[in-house]
Amino acid sequence: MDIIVQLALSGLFIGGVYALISVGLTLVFGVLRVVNFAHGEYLTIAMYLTYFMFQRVGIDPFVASVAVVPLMFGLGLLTERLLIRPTLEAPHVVQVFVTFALSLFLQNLLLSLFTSDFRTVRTPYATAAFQIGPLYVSWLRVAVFVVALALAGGLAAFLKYTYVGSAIRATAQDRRSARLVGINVDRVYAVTFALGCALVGAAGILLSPLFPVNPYTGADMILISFVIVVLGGMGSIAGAVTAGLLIGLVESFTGYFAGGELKQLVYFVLFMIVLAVRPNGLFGRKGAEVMDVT
Amino acid sequence: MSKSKHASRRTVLGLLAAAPAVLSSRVAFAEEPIKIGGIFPLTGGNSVFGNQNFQGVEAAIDLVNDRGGIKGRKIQLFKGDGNSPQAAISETNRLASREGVRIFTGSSTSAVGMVASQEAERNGAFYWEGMAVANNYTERDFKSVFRMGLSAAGLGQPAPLYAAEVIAPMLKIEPKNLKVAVIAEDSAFGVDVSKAAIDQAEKLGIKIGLRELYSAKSTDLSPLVLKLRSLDPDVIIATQFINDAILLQRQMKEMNYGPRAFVGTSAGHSTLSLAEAIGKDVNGIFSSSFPLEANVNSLSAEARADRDEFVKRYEAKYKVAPAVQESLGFVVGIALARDILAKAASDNAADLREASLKADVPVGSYINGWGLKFDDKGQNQRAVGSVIQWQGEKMVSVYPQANKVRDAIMVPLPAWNAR
Repeated sequence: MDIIVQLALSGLFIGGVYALISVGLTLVFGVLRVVNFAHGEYLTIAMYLTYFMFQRVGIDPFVASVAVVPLMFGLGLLTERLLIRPTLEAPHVVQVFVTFALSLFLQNLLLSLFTSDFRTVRTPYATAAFQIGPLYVSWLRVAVFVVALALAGGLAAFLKYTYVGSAIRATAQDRRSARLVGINVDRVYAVTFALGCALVGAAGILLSPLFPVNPYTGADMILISFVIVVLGGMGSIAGAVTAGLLIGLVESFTGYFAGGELKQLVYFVLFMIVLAVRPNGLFGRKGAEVMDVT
Repeated sequence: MSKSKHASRRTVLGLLAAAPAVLSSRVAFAEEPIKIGGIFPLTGGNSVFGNQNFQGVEAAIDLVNDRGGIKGRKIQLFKGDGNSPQAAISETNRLASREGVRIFTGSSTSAVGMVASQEAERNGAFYWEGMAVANNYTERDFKSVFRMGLSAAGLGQPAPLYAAEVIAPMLKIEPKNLKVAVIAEDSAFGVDVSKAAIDQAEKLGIKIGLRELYSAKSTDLSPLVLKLRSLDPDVIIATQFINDAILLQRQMKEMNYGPRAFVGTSAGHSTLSLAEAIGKDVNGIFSSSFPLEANVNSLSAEARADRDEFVKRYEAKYKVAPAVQESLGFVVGIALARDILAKAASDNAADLREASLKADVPVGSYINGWGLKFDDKGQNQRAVGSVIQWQGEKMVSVYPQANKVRDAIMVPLPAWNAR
């Protein structure tokens, strides 16, 4: 029984991280209908920013977020203006090429700037844990989990209750009608894309005390996010969170009961079953074109 | 897009780098330089190892050139970025056809080495393998492919040998009563090396309580830690890359679990990144690995001089001391130049093969304690694995006798806060 609880906790903690990485991706897809293949590289960039602020200036990762998140937001605005906006009306395959090329470009840029060495933010609290009976719980993982869920919840609330959020949802539902009622669609796209980058930036900050970073870290982590986004329903925030937690749990339990090498096999089988039964994912709606923030 | 950008940048850099060598050789030497192509993963996930290996080879070639070259000819080293098996194929062919390279060395990983050596053989070139460990590497009946370095068996075997010979007595347990868990990442590297460790353990009568494979890209290894905790082995033998090695140590600490001894098998446990990431928690960890250093008394005078020169040059250039992978690259480069190229009748593949088969270099001739003597399949019989231990956040060599510079400490492993 102890082991079941310990496994569930581990699964939920890592699932929270997956969810946070995926939320930004699904948001951008839901509103702009762009699959951002460079999403992982923004995660890597945020991890490097956090690393250098920690290493050079001695700023704790959680404090560094005050600077890193706005920086990532700015980087998102810039990317949207230079690369995404000019290609929005182009066929989907063009956007795929653009973001994929951006991903390769950023990987190689990071490689030439920082080499392929793994760099680690070594905080004194990285491995601190508390004990409840027979269970060991890492403070850091709990903190990451709580912040991740709070951010996802905050995003959902932002979309639901603020004017900008309503504009984003309106644009997601029908960009032409949104424009007709006076919404500045270009600005909505820019803000949404930047928000996606800021969210994955936050994920990068949270991950940096847990994992070492090199130019390929984001690319390695992002595959699972694509699975989560599709599993949860493309464009659905609640779906991304649910699917993220689900995949975390599945990984944890199969890792223990079936062996670590079968983790991916099991969640891809689950993935295929869910898609066979619900082709639009757990929370997705037909055509995956509706922004769902419930 | 990035590939062509890379290729053109590399070409330009290559030309710039080669220019002085080519020019000076035209003035000073009547003959063309000897061209060697180094196929290593210089970008991508395994590039940490690729760059470290390449830097070692480069240091060796520079040293040989500075001492006058081979029979008056300079060696010109070309870079080939084998960041994937496909890239390794195209880079080998590019160097062979465009640069006229007929001698290759490599390759940091088996995935790269297997295909690069095959392409070299197909081009009638000579391939000098240093790092790829796949057991079937030398089982392919290739004529001009020689492996100076260890096989997976050679890399995995020292771990259980050391556990039986040194760790068990320190724990006051009979070797055959040792409880051992073997964990490994699930690529060919992890599978082959961990199997070699298990085979060797069974030969010694040690029972393996658990063999667990996992993906090196895992983001959470706590299920594995829980399994280890419930088995409670005396010794964990682990074949891991860097990321997962760091993650496992951190999660073991989080869950306040530690075995009585932890023995890695090279890769993630023989790299400075591990100490950078986990600090003093690294102390006490063993790693069965390519040799880091040799006991000075076991080295020839020439090897001692090489070692001093290599360490001096490496530290001047990179501001850090060379570790396992850099030393290995150096040994591979120096052996190829001094004991094969210099002894061969010419630098064509048939003569290099001849020279390799004839080579009889005693143990202790290279800075890591190795010698050269190939079996008929092209596997060096005088390459032996060794064991290092992290002490004071530095690697020191503890096994076998020829490589030992210090005694093992911290057996059994102390609690996390006492390392």
